Amino acid sequence: MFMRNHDEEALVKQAQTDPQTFGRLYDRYVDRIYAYAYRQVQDATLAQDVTAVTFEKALRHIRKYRWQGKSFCAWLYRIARNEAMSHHRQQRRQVSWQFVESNDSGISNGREMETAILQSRHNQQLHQALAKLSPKDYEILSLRFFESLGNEEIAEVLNCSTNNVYVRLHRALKRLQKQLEKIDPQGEVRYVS
Amino acid sequence: MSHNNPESLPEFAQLVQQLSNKTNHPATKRMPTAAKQTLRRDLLNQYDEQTLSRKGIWQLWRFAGSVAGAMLLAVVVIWFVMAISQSQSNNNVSSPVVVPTGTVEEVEVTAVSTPSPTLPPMPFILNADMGDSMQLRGYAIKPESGFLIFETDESFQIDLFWETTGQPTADYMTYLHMLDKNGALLTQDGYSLGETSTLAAGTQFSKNATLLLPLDISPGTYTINIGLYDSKTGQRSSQIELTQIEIRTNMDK
Repeated sequence: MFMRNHDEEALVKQAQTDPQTFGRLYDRYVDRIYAYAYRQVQDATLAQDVTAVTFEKALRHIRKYRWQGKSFCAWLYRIARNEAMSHHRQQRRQVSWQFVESNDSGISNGREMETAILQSRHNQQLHQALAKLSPKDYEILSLRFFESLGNEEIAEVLNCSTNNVYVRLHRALKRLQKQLEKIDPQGEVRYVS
Repeated sequence: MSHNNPESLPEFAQLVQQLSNKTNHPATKRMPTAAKQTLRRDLLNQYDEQTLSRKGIWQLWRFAGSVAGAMLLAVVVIWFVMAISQSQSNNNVSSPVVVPTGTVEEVEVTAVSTPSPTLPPMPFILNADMGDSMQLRGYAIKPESGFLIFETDESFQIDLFWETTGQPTADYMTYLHMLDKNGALLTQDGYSLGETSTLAAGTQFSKNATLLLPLDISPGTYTINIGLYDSKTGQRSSQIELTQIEIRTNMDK
């Protein structure tokens, strides 16, 4: 982690004067930012727009960027989040989240088929439960688990303290658990191994 | 009060595992390679344009500076020539020299406080001395309605506006405490104010803090206290009551 931060700090400083280094930062993060943007706006063209604006803004402000030990990636996420939110404000519509369909190819026997069906039901329930969460709860779970950001990075993206992230995460997990219990009171599907 | 990472709690172990499983993640796509390369090329072109435009602006400034310098020099030369010619004509007239008499009056110069150029307008002005040259100039609270509707607003944000009246001797953290009418602590949060010991007198800066409301909070009026402590030693400086907020439930709306 330290090495990565150290490496990132050097890259960011170099990128302030060298376009090729900015290109390296772009190569490092473009896929993650695009994936995040796509999850937020659910449209490939819009996700490209959000990604483009994110990096254009990063480019415009990189000379003023001061390294404070915080992740550069979190800064990009913050810009992307603001762009996606501004898009949502313009659209005024709730995005219906699509989840990855479980891959059922290569199922050869009955036991595997049973596991795959359970897995599919299990995904569906999680999908339903996540869709019922408030945007704030969904956002924090999304940043932590789908985007794999660390708690300090999430604090940077959401402009709050790490303690605040822990409390919000705790509450969001609790509410998700409640939603899952409502959907499957016996926990039959969830707790089948 | 520091919170533990909820992911390490046994009650969430299974859920965390489910959420971490990539097959449960929302669908996403990879950016097409062609689009990625086009964007990369555009960005690098923009980078070059920015650099050129910066160079252009710098050259423009240099040109403007040279023109201004030349004009200033011309004015000085003209003034000098006029002054010499006038003194020569005065010498020719040989007018009497008038010498001023008397003493120079001492004029008291008072500092005029000017509105802060850096801080945005503050709805609530405090100018509270928090010790060690740290002054809390004021604050803003969001939502601005003066009360919070619980179940709708789970958190609220306070923007704090600071100014140093001298150079502080320590790096400070600020804490916010929310107390009930009996003085019991309900929620709190702390934020670093950065390297305050390096700030010169008169430095202004703002910092926002978010307080999350406890889930079992009852409607009523609550007090928000604010204080400072040394981030290295943990020693508290001073604490003041910042404000009071009213919590209502959806039923009170």
